[in-house]
Amino acid sequence: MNWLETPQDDSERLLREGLDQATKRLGDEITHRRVWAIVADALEKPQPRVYGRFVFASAALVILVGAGAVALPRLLPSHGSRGATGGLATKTAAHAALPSRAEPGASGAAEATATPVDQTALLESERVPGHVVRTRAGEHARVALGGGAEAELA
Amino acid sequence: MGGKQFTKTPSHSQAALADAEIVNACRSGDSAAWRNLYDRYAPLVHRFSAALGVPIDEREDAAQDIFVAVYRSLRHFRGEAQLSTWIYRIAARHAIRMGRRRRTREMMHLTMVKEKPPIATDPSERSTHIATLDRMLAKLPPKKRTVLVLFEIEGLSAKEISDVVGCPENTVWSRLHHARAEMVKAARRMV
Repeated sequence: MNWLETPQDDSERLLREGLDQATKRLGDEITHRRVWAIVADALEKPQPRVYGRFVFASAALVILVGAGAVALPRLLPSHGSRGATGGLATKTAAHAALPSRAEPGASGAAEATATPVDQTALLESERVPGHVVRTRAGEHARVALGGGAEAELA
Repeated sequence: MGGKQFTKTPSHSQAALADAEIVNACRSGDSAAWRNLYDRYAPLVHRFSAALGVPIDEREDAAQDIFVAVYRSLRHFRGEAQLSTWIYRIAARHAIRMGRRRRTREMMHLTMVKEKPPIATDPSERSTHIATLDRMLAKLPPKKRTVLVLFEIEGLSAKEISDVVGCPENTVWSRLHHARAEMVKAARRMV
């Protein structure tokens, strides 16, 4: 038995009749033929392949590789600066922080800080990977490292 | 299950058997099978779209879109549900999407020109109770409307409706109960 088949009032009768008529709303033959003509046309066309995911994945990969290529050299110090010079400079700087055996007295320290400017410039210009920086007793040298860091050598 | 639906289409088991054959033939590229599928389901799609509020001037476009969607995704149809249930699901989703777009369009139109756009009506529906029913259905929220239409107009069972809308059967019954109460209330206000 259908809902509202025995209506209690006009409003329920109206509703039931509306529902009954709605079940017969099947469209006309002409409309169906017209729609079929368009649908059949779409069926004849080759089905579009779903390239979307492939394109998206490729684009994402290219962007990631590009970003990596740009960012990696900035994030990691170059091989040369991390190698001989960098290591040496760090080690030497650490040693410099400690009171040195060869460090002269008060007058000597004053003399050592008065490093000739041309000496610093010479050391900086000779900074190449594998280059050993030597300082004589009482001399200070400032070495510029990769990434803007500096090491004070004594 | 109401008997209305299957007086218009072959009996339940016959329809299921024929549907499986049609689906297989369609998958193998048989254009006659596609025509068969279309002839079988075009009236259903038309009726369902109309009941879900697709206006007369958009029903052809809606039917085209639905059948093209059926064509494109038939290879994903696993045959677990009936073909009709699956088509209802596509049609319901499409009708709800169209309704959302239409409401946005109407809102924009109202904002721009401050008056409602004219609603096209089917001349054959003007003198009937359908126009009144459509006005009452239009007041229902889409989920309740879909359940009511599937049960009262399309004649699906609660189980089939739960497959179409993707919710438990209890939810179907609950939505149907509320939709019926709202429809009766709306009908009383109109008379």
